[in-house]
Amino acid sequence: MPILLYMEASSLREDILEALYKARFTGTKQSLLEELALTLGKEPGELRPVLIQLEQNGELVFNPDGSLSLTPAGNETGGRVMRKHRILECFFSEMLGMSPDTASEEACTLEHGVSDEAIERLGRYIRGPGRSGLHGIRRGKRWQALTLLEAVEGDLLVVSCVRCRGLGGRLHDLGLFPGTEITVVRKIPGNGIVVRVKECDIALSTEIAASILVERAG
Amino acid sequence: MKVGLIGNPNVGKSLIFHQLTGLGVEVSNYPGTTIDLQSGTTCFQKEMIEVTDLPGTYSIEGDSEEEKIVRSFVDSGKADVIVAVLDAGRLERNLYLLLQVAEYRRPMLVVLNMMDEAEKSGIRVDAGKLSSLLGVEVIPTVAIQGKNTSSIIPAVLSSVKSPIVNVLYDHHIEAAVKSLKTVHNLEWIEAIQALLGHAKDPDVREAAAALSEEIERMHRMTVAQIIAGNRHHCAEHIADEVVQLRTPERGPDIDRLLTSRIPGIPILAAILIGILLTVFVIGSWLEEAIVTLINIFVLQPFLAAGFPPLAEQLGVSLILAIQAGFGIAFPFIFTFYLFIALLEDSGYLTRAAFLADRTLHRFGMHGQGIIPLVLGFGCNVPAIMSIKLLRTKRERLIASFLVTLVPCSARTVIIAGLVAAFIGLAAAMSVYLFVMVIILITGLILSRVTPGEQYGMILEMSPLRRPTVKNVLLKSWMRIREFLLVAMPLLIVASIILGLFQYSGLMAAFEEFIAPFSEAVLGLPSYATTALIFGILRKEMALETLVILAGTADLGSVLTMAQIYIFAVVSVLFIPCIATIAVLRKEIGTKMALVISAYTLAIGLLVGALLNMLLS
Repeated sequence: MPILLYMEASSLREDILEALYKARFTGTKQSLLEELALTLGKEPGELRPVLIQLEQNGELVFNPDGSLSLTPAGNETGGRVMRKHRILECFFSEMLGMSPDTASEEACTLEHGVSDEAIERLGRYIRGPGRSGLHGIRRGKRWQALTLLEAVEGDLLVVSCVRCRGLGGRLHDLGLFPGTEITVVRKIPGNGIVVRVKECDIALSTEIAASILVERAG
Repeated sequence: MKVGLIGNPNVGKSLIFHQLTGLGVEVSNYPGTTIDLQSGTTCFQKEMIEVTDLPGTYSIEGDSEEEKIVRSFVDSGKADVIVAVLDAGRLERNLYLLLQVAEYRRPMLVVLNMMDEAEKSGIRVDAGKLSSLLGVEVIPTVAIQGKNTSSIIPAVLSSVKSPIVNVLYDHHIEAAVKSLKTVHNLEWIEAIQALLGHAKDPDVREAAAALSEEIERMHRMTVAQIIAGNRHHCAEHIADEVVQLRTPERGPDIDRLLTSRIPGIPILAAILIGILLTVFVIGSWLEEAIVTLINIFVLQPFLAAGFPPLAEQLGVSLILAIQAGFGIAFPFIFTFYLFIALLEDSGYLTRAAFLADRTLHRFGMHGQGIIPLVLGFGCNVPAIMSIKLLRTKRERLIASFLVTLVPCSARTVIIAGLVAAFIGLAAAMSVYLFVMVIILITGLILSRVTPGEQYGMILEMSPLRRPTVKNVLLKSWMRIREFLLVAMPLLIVASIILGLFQYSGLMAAFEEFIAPFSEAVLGLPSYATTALIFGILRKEMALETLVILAGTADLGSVLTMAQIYIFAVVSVLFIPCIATIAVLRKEIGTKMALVISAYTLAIGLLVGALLNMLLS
């Protein structure tokens, strides 16, 4: 029971910091205690002891006019909590298909318990899922991902990802597809590159080459 | 009976088309599409066979113009038989397209072309095994030598089958196809096409979009990507079964010389300058011969016949138009086409595009833009026609602006005949320099202000081959015929209109009206302005008209050097010729054709006025 109480208090603390952090971004520089209570759905009386504790921790200050503002330390905590909230919400709604409201509620509960590392990995997963997401994590020499632009003449490579807007389709048709083995036939620095794909030589501009991720084969 | 030829670009489809339809065949261009379909007929055992050559493409699922044309051709079932032409040396990549077409289950025949080249690079394809895997007849050929192409038509008539090959799709795709098939009562091919977003019925499209979205969410890849991957995999599998690799015979690596910075770029410059000079020398000589011949044998007898004035004016206009057409088409454009065909057939043009890529990026284009620009030196009309090969509207727009500024051979005639003859070679070169600087500045500005996205170049390098005389001549002839078909009617109409103007006295009235402006702004006598206007009809006609109106071929005696220089610069820059304007209109629309004409007019007058202020 004491642990639960502690946890509740701690999540309330984070909720307050998050709300104040959010308020700063929506334009209202300082918030009154009453407004804060309204946003969080609590009584002002409930909040007061927690706020005092936060002030003691050096995370917020009571201004003479009754408004509240965050200290740099409080700002950091608030920002971190909000980021967790956003990432969880995005995961629930866009990847698990939950309704935005439920996703937000769910995120509100979980944001206090989730570790920084888990959030970091989840964020990376959402940003670049699938194959490209893996390369940032596997860092062994064999797995070093590079763009085609960084390859040199004579390299034997395996395509790992094609991130080309608009023309990705054409590259796929030519066989530049994740998993295909290619050889760098010619490279003129700053001008472009010729690769051999499935027995055909394909000339690519630098910007196209830069959008193709490859790995050294073997 | 209708036959459609399908294949990747550069697999010898057109060559096979010419061999199938033979000589004296009716080749028609169907307008309305940006990339034209060519059809021809041939007769075999009393059966009329219409063969259609479709644009070369790597896929039929995309949104590019040629892909849409080929897809709708296959889908519509217009052809009784589809002949897929494959490059034996690049079998795997070619099979990718074949697998897409095979899914329509239309009667098919596979032509395995370029067997000799494949053999040379150590690739041996087992045609029998390929045939049994695909379920259709496979005919190995060497089209360039005409080897075995004669057995294509008999096979089309006797032994076409629907393909049996199946691509193994991802089970989510299969499930989605099954559900679309049962719910909407579709054929298998309709269902997979719907998943790729090609359904015509809005209900089906919506249902397919919902399914695709779900699959995308599961795979984190688009449906098109998954399907492309499955097809590539299948193509790879088939190629593995039928291809035997040996170590190829290695010759000297000429390609390395051609595509390295040194000596690649100097070679490129030498080739281009060499071609321009040769075309210019041969062209001027031939043009003089043709113009003189028409003068002596047509124009003079016609004038001597003494027709009534109106008839005579019309007749002269007609003869002038024909003279203009032939005088420019054969000497300059045909000669130029011969060289271009040589460059194309040898595979050098793709290397030139690769080398020029970086430079052309600064002007908002990419390597392939070198083709219209180079063609522009011969004649702007075919150059504008070739901007089709640039993919985005932005690139096409920039290219058409720049191409119309490129001094074509007709403008070269003015520079040589006027500036070089009466002022000197250095002055003539300075006109070129002038134009080049204007092209550079225009390009730099356009690349900043033109809306639209810029994509880089993705270009398959064609293998280096020895061009054959027959094909080079054939190709050049086909093109010059196309040019004459486009340009001749225009020239005739425009010439007659100008002739009528002259006849009705409108021209004299215009001359009177323009005189103060002409003298004040450009420092030119009013008849020179009239000559400039005739230049719209055919650029070097500005020079010829000037000679006629001045009443002497010794222009140095009636015009000052400054006037000659200004006349040359203005006529080179201002307003593209009428044929170019018409082609611009066809390729990029009336509005942009007008904008480009107005721009060149403004540039021409501005530079003329500035020169007038500086020189006088």
